[in-house]
Amino acid sequence: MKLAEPDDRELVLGSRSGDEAAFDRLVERHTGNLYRVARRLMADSQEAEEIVQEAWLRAWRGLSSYRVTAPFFPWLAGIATNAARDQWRRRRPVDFSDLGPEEFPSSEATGVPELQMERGEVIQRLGVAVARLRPEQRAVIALRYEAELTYQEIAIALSIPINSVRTHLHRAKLALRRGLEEQ
Amino acid sequence: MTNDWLDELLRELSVEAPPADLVIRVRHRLAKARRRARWVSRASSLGATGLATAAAAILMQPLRTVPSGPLLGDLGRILTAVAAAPGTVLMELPLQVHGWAQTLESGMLLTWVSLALPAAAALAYLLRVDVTEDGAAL
Repeated sequence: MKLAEPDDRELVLGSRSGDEAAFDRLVERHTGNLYRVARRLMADSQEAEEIVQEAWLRAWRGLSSYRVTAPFFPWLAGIATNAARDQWRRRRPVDFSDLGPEEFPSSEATGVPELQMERGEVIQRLGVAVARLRPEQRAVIALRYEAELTYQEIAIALSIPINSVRTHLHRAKLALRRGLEEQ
Repeated sequence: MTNDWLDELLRELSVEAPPADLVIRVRHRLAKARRRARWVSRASSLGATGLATAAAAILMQPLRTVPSGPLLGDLGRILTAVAAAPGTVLMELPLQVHGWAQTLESGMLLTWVSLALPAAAALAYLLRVDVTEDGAAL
């Protein structure tokens, strides 16, 4: 008879009690998704791997601060985003709560883009456009579409108000639409 | 095409798959961090034990010449006195401790304090109750 797989909460509680295998099980379960988030945040795969490893180390050290009633992955993704922010800071300061200069959406920008290209080509160009976004916008895109977090979970992960999440996402999408139209 | 179209594309946008050995590498790094943490913990314990032993050794030498105080006196006599008149003994205790402490040299008093502080910290650590943020004791 196969035993039921322990959920994240049970594994976290086990890890806190000193069960190393329980934490290793969390690593096995979430590293794939965490890498996808990190890869969206960072310029290359090597940097993304470094972020994943750093995030797991920070998670292990800070496991006592994790609220077991909250879902585990948003907490972990938040740690990875902070690790990425530390990397970005070495290049230029990044503040997730900084919404940047106001960009008023034009009627053209909110309208339907007339893109005369194949879907594959559009996706490829979209990838390029995402890579060119401001770091805080890329973080929100990664958490929303790679990690599939809710707005509330993104707000918790980035420690910003939920309205800032909406604004970052809105502006990121505007920038992407413009980027696609310009290419 | 609407915003839903962009949402759909963003969901479709895929990054390359994680390297096959990434989980193993994360585990290795964690294992290394755990080993380091254990080493630091053991080294701290050994250091504390060494300090406590040294302090005790320093303390034992001059202690033989110190007049018996409330902590070193005849335990049976003290217990009898407590049983007979607990209130009086309790009232006199601070004075007796104070008088006894005055007979000690300042260096020795420092040694007592240096022994008492880690002992109190160790006791507090042993008695602590871990509580999760949802209120459950671990």
